[in-house]
Amino acid sequence: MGANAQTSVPTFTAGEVLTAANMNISARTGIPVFADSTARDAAFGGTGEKTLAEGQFAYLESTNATQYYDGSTWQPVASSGTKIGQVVSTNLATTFSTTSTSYTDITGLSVTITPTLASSKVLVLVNLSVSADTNVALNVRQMRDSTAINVGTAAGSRTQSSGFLQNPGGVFAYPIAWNFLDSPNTTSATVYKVQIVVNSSTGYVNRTQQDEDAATRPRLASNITVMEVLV
Amino acid sequence: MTDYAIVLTRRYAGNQWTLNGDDYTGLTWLSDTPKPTKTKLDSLWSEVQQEIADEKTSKAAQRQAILDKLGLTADEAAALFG
Repeated sequence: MGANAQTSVPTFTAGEVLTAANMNISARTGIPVFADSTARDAAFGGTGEKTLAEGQFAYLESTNATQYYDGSTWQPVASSGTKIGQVVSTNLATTFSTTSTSYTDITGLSVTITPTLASSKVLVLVNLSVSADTNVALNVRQMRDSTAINVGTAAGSRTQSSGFLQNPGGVFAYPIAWNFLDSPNTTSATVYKVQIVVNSSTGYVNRTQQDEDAATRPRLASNITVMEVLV
Repeated sequence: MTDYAIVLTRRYAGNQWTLNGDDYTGLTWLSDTPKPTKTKLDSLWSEVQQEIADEKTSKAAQRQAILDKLGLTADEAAALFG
């Protein structure tokens, strides 16, 4: 039995003298509210503070999450198995074009998520509509902050990429999609974004290479969604 | 409305830039060369449009010349090549 485990749920009667022990039972059984995990961790075990032990609950304002301590780590409430936590999504319905021959951000195609637990995974879902001038090699990649993820292993001069297009010619827009289960191992705000690069000429997002004002030419949308997977 | 991406691709080849959206305000110039002004790009748009139209006309003429050489109509070529 943990140090904070109760052996009874007392009822006090009128006129009864409340002892410190009585107060400790009654005053410490509510769910304490903390600004974030740092404040939570600093609140236990000090002089005059409660000892952190199995069964302790906490509510974090930073992530609106209720957690319990299992004796070694904080766990999300009601996670007897894997479940989806926060979901953050951005839809880009405007165009983006570039001639950059080094990876550059696709403006507006990024999301920020703050994992509740360091053990959480983040499921990243991306859908892109891209086009390029004839024979241009267009690559896109998934970024977590400044780190490329979901890209192939380095192999010589080949471009490490999450998606690729080489337009054989004509008026085309191509879908590129991926999903990737990331393990960011952090409770800090984390940015997931998509970058693009071309080897020459121009690459396009959400439009075709030839973009005449005609019903035969589309305007498209791309999006990125991230889901915290509590495990 | 000027298609800035097309004008830049055809008249400023070799330069690097990004264009967020369709408007000139979304243009970020990545090269060391001077960033072209909106006025300049707008003034180039009509000749670029004409250039694209001329290319389409030229391609169509080339296509027709090949069909004539083969003795096929456009419909017959479509039926043949899908």
